[in-house]
This record gives sequence, C-alpha cells and structure tokens, in this order.
Amino acid sequence: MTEQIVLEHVTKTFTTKELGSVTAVNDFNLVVHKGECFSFLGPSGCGKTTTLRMIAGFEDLSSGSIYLGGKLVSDRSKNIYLPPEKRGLGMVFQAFAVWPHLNVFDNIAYPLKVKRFSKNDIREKVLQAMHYCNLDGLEKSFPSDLSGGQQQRIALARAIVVNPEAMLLDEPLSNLDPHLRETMRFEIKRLQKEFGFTIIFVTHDQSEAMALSDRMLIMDMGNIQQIGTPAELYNHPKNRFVHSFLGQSNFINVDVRDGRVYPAGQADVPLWVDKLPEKSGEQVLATRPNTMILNREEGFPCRIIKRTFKTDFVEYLLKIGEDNAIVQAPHRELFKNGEACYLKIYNSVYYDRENEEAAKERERRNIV
Amino acid sequence: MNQQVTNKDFLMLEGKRKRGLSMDKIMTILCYVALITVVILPCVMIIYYTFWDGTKIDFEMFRSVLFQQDNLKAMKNTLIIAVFATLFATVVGVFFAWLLGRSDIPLKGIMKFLFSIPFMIPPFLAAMSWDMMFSGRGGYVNKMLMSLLHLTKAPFNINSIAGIIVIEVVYYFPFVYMQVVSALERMDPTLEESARIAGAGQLHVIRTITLPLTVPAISSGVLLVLITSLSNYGIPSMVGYSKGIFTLPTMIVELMNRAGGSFTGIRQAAALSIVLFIVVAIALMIQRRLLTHGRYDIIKGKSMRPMLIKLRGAKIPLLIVSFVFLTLVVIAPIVMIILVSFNKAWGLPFTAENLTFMHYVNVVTKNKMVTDSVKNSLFLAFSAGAICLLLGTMLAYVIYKVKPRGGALLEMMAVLPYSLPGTVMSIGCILAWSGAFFGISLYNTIWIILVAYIARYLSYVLKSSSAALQQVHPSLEEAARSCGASHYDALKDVTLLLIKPAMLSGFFLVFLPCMRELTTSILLYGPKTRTLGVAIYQLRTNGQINQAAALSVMTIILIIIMNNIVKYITRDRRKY
Repeated sequence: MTEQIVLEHVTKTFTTKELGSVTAVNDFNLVVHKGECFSFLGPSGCGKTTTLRMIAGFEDLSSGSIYLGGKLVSDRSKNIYLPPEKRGLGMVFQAFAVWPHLNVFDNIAYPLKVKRFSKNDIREKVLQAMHYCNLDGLEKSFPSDLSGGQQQRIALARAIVVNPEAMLLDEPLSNLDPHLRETMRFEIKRLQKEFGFTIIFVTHDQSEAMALSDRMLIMDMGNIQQIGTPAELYNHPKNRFVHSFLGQSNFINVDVRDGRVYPAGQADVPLWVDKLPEKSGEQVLATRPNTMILNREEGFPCRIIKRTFKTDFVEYLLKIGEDNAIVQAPHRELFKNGEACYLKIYNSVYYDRENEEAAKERERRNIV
Repeated sequence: MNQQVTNKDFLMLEGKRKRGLSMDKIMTILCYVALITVVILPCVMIIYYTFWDGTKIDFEMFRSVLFQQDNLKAMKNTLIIAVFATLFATVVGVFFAWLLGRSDIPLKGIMKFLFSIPFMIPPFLAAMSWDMMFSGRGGYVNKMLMSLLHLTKAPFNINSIAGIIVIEVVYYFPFVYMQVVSALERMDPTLEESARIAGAGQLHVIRTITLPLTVPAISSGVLLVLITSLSNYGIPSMVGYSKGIFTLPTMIVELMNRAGGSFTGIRQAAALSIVLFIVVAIALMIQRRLLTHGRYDIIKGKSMRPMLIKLRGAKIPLLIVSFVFLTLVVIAPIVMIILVSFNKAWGLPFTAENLTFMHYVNVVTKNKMVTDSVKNSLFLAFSAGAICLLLGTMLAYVIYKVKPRGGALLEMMAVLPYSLPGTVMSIGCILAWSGAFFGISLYNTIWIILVAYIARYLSYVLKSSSAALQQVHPSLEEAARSCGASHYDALKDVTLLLIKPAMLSGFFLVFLPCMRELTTSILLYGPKTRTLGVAIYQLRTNGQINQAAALSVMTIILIIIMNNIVKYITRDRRKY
C-alpha cells in the first residue's frame, strides 16, 4: 500500500485573548493510504477541522511535518510551506462554497481554467464530471436556483474534475437533510470507486463516519483517541471517551475485589459479567444497552425503574449501585415497571475513572 | 524531492508581511495616506485656525464667537428646529411605517412610491417650492386663500422657525419611515403571535411588543433626522435668510461671506464650525447613551409573512388622511415648481396665456452660468463617484480582509465626515487647501470641491462595499485556492466579482448626492466652478425664480433617471 497522506508530530497552538494558549492539535501522527476512505470524527472544537485545514494548507503548523504523495509540503523547522493552490488536492466545504456568480458549468470549469486547459478539454472534462455527479443538463443553471443536494454535487464535481489524488471533505453533508445525506454518502463512495482517490472526511456524525470509512480516528481536545476500522473502534474502544462517542453507552462505577465486580455503593451482591478486569480496585464498567440482557432466571438482581416503548425495541431504565443504566430488549419478552429481574452484562470493558484534569480542561475550552 | 518554497508564502499565511511590500501592505499605506489627506487635514486645520491667532494660542476668540448675540440666537434656532423637526418627523414616520408595514390599508404600492420621492429631491429645492407656495409675500397658496376667504393678511408664513420645522418634517419623515418599515416587514411574526396567544389585545400588542421591538430601527431613524437637521444648510437658507433667521450652518456661511478673505473673519467661521460640530457630537453621544441597551435581533427565519392588522371601519378615513397628507407634502411642491417653470413671470396667475417654454430655452441655451454648472456637476459627480468607488472598496478590503493594526482607526477616519456637517467639512477644506500645505492652493478651482465631495461621500462606498465583502464567506476564496488559484487570482475571480454589484451601487450612492449638492459647493465654488445646486440658488437669489424652477425640474428629471439606472443595475438578478 502506498502512503498518500502522512502527518508526523503535527501540533498546532493558538493563542487567544480569552483562553490564553490552546493546543488545538497535539502531536498528531497519521498515515492514510492510497485509495483509502478515512474519517476524522470528534465533537466540535476537537481539532479535526484544523487538522484538515493544515493538510489543505490553509493553516500553518506550529511544529511537525506533512507529506502528500511522498512530498514534504509543510514543515516549519525546514521553512517549507506549499500554498494550498499548489498541493493538488480536491476539497469540499461544509457550506458548499459554490460561487454564486458563476453558473454550474463555470463553477466546475474553474480549476481547469486556472490550470489553462484548452477549451475543448475543459468542456469534455466538465461534462464528464457533471455526468458522474448526476448534474446532466444543468450547465447553465445558477447555484441559487438549485437545491442543497445539487449544490453539493457541484462542489463535488468541481473537486473531482481535475482528478486529484486525494480529496478533503469538511463536513460536506451536515448542511443537507437526513434523507439526502444518505444518498450523498452513497454517491461519494461510488465516485471514489470510480476514480480511486483517497478521501479524508471530517464529520461529527458517528453513523456517517462508520458507514463511509475504511478506517477512522476519533479526536478529542486536540488528541487522537483511537485509530482503527469502524468495527474495531465500536467493539474495542480504548477509552471511555471513544466508548461514549460511538453509540450509546452505560458507565457503571464498580469496585473490583477478589475476582468479583461489585457496583459502587452496593458492596454485597456482585454483577454478572462476561469478562473480568485485569486489575482490582475502583474502575468504570462500560457496556452498551444492546449488550445487556434482562431475564427472569439468572444474573444480577435489579428492579425496572421505567419502561419506554421504542419502535424496534423496549428500553428499560435500571439502577445499578449509584448509577443508572439503560437496557434495550426485544418486544417479545416484556417486563413491567417495578418488576424484579436479573441482568447479564456482555461486552464489558473496564476503564480507569476519568481524571479531574481532563474534566477541567474540557470546562476551560467550553467557556468560549 | 522536497520543493523549497520562498519565505513569502509562509509569512503571508501567518499574516506577517515584514519583508518587502506585498500588495496588501501597499494598499494599507495608500488608505492611510488618502484618509489623512482628505479627512484629517481639514479637521486639524479648523482646530488650528480657531485656537491659533498667528502668534500664540488663543481661546479668547472662540469665547467671543460662542457668546456673541447673533451666534447664540443661531444656536438656539438650530436646536429648536432640530428637536421639533425630529420629534414630528418620527411620529409621522412611525405612523406611516406601521400603516404600510402592518395594516391592510389598500394602495400601498402608490404610497410607497410617494414616500421615495423626497429622497430624490434635494432639500433646498423642496424649500424653494414651499417658499413659492407659502411665502408671506406673494406665495401662491397664500394668495389663493386670501382671495377665497377674503383675508387681508397671508394666512401662512413659511419664512419663520415654524415654517422651517414644517418643511424639515415633511422632508425628513421618510427617513424614519424607511428604517422602521423594513424592520416591521422583516420582524418575526411569531413574536407578536405569541403575545396574542398570551391574551394581549391588538393595541396592547402594538404598544408592548411591536413598538419596543422596533425601537432600534426608530432610533436609528431619529439619529439620522437629528444629525441631518442640525447640519442642514439648504432649507434654513432658502426660507430663513430673507427674514434674518439664521441657524448655525447658515451663520457659518454668512460669516465666511462677510469675511471676504480676512484672517479674523475666517477664524470666526472656523470657531463657529467647531461649535456646530460639538452640538452634533453631543447629539450623537446622547443618542448612543440612550440606546446602548435594547439591541436585539428581531429577524429570525427568512421570508415569513407578518400578520396584517385589519383596520375595518378605520380603513377609509385613514386612507383619505394619508392621501391628503401625501398629496400636500409630496406632490404639491413638485407641481408648484413645474407650474412656476412654465409661467411667464413670477407672481402671474397660472393661465393659458402665461404658459411658456421660454425659461427652459433660456436656461439651456442662453445662460452660460447654467451650462457651465451642468458640466461642472457632471464632472464632479463622475469623478467623485469613481474615486470613492476605488478608494472605498480598497478601504473595505483593507479593513475587513487585510485587518492591519489600526484598522479600527482607518474605519473611524473614513466614517468621520458622515457625521460631520457639510459646512464644517467645507470650511476645513478651504483652510487646508488654500496654500497651507506645500503652497498647494485649490481655492476657486473645481478640485477643492472634488476633494470635499470625496471626503463627504467616501463612507457611502465603504459601507456598501464592506457589507458585501463581509457576505463573501472565506470558504468561497479558499475553494478557489484549493482549485489551484493563487491569492491574487482568488481575489480577482471570486471576491471582486461577487462584490461588483455593491461597488456599482456605491458609485451611484456617491454620484446622486453630488449631482444635487448645495451645502459644500456654496462655500467652495468660484467664478467658473458653480455646480447645479449653486446655479439654482443664485438664479433664485437674483430674482430669476422661473428660470430657477426650470433648472430644478431638469435636475429632478436627471436624478430620477439616474436613480432608475441604479435600480436597474442593482436589481436582484440572482439571490446570493
């Protein structure tokens, strides 16, 4: 596999009046391979867009280096910085950034005109790109007459028309309605198959990242939390943040003694778990609502506090020690409010309790 | 194979442009130089002349000017006129704004058109027309009423403080109307609907919800009227001069004329300019103080239709009142000027045998002063428009995109003349450009008028261009960069093209007021550099009232044509 985009120890520090110095991106190391679809996922303000803009060349690095197709394009210590127009990337922006004063054809033709292609070449390439993006016949229309989905297709066509090796997509679907989002997601994949470009896709939507990526990473407060395939990240989250960011989570404070897991504040009865932690002491047990099983025979005894009917399952609220937990169960076996039952916990993962420093830093950043 | 790139790109990105002169840096320097020359020098010169008697610092002169009987009276007149004109203009403006913005009164289209007319007529022309109708000596309407009602005295006398107030009210209320109606039309209707749901009646909602929410719009209208009234020259000079009623601006011009070039005389005019500026500044500050709180966004979603209140039984009476009022204040003055322009001689009744085209022919062919003035005004308006267009757009770009240190200062310098009365600006120009610097004397040439116009109207272009520039999302330029365009290309292909309509409308925003300007040019014109406004003013002062009317009609037609060209250019072709 060829390395397409490589980031080595990339760090970006901002200084603002309100916060003082903030590390937006901290020691970021990443290798994205040719033809891969890679997602940056994280809450807003986690540094994912900053990273993308550094790759594109709209932001400078504080330290570290970036290679595109084996070529060093950003390295402050070596005084190297290639401006965005010379990086040969395609980019699609959150707000589409389709130029309102140009019609569809001229919008898509722009990168070719800058590169001084001949008129015939331009026409041929633009029409082909429009065809691939399902924009046939809209050459003369102006963006303001088109829907959001169509405008996003223009942005896509404009990015693929020069056949770039890599595409940077900055939350390209977040301005679309949910149905359209799904369609566009599919189209982006289709175009990638057709042209074979590498994709870096920035999003804060978990399901979008899971559905689209070959591999992905999760960022929080400027740090990479975990890199891996969607399945790895979902099933084996490295830490509490990753666990809670991908899908619904239950976190139960537990105390591990003598090879048994006791819920905090209820030291007499141990939990029924599929897996034991490696060490003893106070920890957090993480699991998901769909990996806990309620039954009437065996497990940890508890009481249903509240039952909520959902379309595909029934949701039960339980109290385990000091913490609340949510369990999803099929409709076929119903439990009543207040009913006593037993709980089995599968896919259990154990983390250290969250340290206070991280919580403080989060609070500091959220002030702005 | 690492490509080594020059330091320049690297530094550009970080906003450090220390080495070498980049395009951005050159523009920043140009802006500073231009603004200091055009705006700051005249202001400094006024202060310098007021407090420097040639050998030492001197406050005595300022004090004596301040407390001179005539000047105190002019000050009092100015304040009385401004306060009452603002008060009544606000009441009338808000009333019509509500009527057209929120009620189901019919014929809104015609009324809206009528409201736009005062914007096209220069204030001194309106004043001239009111003088023709209601002058104590021989106003046509006065004469008519006297013969109809067998009066021995003229019932109205426009040549009075009250007369000036009336003219200013009818001339200024559309300013308030425009501000308020747009706020009303864009206001989120659910704000009012939720008050209705909460149990408030219609009038209660207007009082407790609608009006308070439009306070920001009303106050910006009030501010506009107050400042315009305080610094207006045309109206008080047209109707007040003959009766010896002076306001600060007319007094300044009078002092300047009396001075006849003497040092002391000019210093007195400069001192009075400072007084006028202080009055305007105080008005501005009070306004700011009163309005610091109560800024909120009342416009939420787009294209929402506000609910219209049914007038029911009051509909027809209100319609009649509105039309009578609008006819009187908007149509009558124009009709009057037109009638006079076709009448053989001032004072003759409007009958068929007195009908003549003579004045138009005279004005166009026989009067060199008039033909010169048309040429001068066209030249001035075109040049001022073009220069303001370039300078203003460059300023907007520097302030909002380059963001140099001291950008706020640049903006302040550019908008300063906006709140500076035209008379003050002109005095400053005379002082600065009559040989004070490097022996450059522009006095009595057309260039001094041009410089003054640029200073006065630069902020108009700055406003329209910067508003457009701020609408251009940075990602539009970045998209071009990621397509392979350089910084310069992106600027040229995307940003500049996107703000082109705003730049064009900025040109006309300068062109139109220059065409009908009087305040600045009355102080700056020389024997060969009369402008249209000056020509009309002088024709009337010389007693050639019919010719003045004919020239006025032509001016109004010219302005209306230009106005429509603007509308055509800036019409909403594509919604950006």
